[in-house]
Amino acid sequence: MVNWEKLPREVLELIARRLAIEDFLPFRRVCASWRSAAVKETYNTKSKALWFMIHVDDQRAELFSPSRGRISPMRLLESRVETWSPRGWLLVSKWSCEYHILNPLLRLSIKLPALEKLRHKSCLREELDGSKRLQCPNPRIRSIAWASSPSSSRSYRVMISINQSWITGLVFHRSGEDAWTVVSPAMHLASNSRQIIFESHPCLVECLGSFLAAWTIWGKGHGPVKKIRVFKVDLEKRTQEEIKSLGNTSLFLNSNSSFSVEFNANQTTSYIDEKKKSYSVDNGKVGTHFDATSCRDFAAVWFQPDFSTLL
Amino acid sequence: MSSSSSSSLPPCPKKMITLKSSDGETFQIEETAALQSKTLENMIDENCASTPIPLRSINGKILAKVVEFCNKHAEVGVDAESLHAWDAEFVNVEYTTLFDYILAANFLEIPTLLDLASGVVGDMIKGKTPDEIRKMFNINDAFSPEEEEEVRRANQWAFE
Repeated sequence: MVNWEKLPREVLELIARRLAIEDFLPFRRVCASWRSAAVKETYNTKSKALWFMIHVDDQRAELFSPSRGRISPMRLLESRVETWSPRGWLLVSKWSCEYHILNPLLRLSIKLPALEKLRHKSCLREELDGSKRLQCPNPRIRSIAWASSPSSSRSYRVMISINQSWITGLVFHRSGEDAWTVVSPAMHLASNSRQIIFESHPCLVECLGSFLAAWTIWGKGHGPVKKIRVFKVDLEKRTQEEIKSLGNTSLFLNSNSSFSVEFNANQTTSYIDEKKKSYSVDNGKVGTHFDATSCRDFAAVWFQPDFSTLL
Repeated sequence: MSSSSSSSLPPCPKKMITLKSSDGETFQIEETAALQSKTLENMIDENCASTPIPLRSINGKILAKVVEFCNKHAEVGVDAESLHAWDAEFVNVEYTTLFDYILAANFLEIPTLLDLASGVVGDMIKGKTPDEIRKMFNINDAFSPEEEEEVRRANQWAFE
């Protein structure tokens, strides 16, 4: 008699290990013996699925999984979504002054310090001026990244990029503190040229426990991507240093949600910017990978949720 | 028996192994093909004695297919593409047969066959809800309502 429940555990593990997370979770719900074979350790974290957010408003978001070929709806609270962390955290604002990060998956909400609370220890006059100007009312939060996410650890570090008119600032916050700390700007980026246009704010990326800020440099008239410059943020010194190579890591860059992925050594290191382009920092090549031109505005965001808490 | 002969000359150029199924059928398989199974490798004697190896958990119908699989994969000069097509055809079978392939491959420790057959199961699971999977494999839900609720709640937003 064929009894799929009674498949040997090692076989069930073999099957489960091949599944992407959206199939791994249903697999665990089939029956007790399948569940016992599909434990956290079985899940092959290397097969992390990427998601694409194709719609978001203050009520709901729609996520598309290319590997599943299906759209999953997600309910949101009645807050304005300011930005989105690729690990499944939303930065929302109420009345554009009170900021929370919330994880609809974990039903967890954490209040962030007010943006007026900017702290700096730098003695550079221009930086003081810069952060003063950032303190003007209603700065715009552009992107967010975690160095250690509250999904996995009680102590977290979050960095945001904020815009106040033409000034962009990077500020970070550690759990337990009541203020934001300002990072020195990469001053040489401010130089202007008629040939190229800097994007007005960088993409923030968490990469192996560090924060990276990636600036896209466009050709004239928002032409093709000329270059992407990546800076590593030193939280202790509160400075940024340019890095020239990322080794095996690729960055998926988006105006709202960026993350890094490690590939095999033989794969080209490339940056994928919003919508569809890739850029290789090693050889400077730009290529097209994915056509998402039909997605609009806030949507078209790469998304790689952290499901470890579900397992 | 000379101890030097085994290292200088292959003892039996076309050594055949005899396998005996649970229902008493016997099958001849070349040793080179049989060595794909780690279990058989451990069972095969150093000498050429052709005592049938009894496989009490595998019936004749399945053992015939397993032998066929091992022979195909031991063939020399088969290109990857046609082997891939052959494999796809091989596992294009009823669920019950697929199940037996998996158990046989697991017992005999034939990684290629086990990967192939479990890969088919993985593909069948993809994109399906737990209910659809249970229906497909005729599995009776063994979860308590509390357990079910717990998992459902955790997955709520992502995969409604």
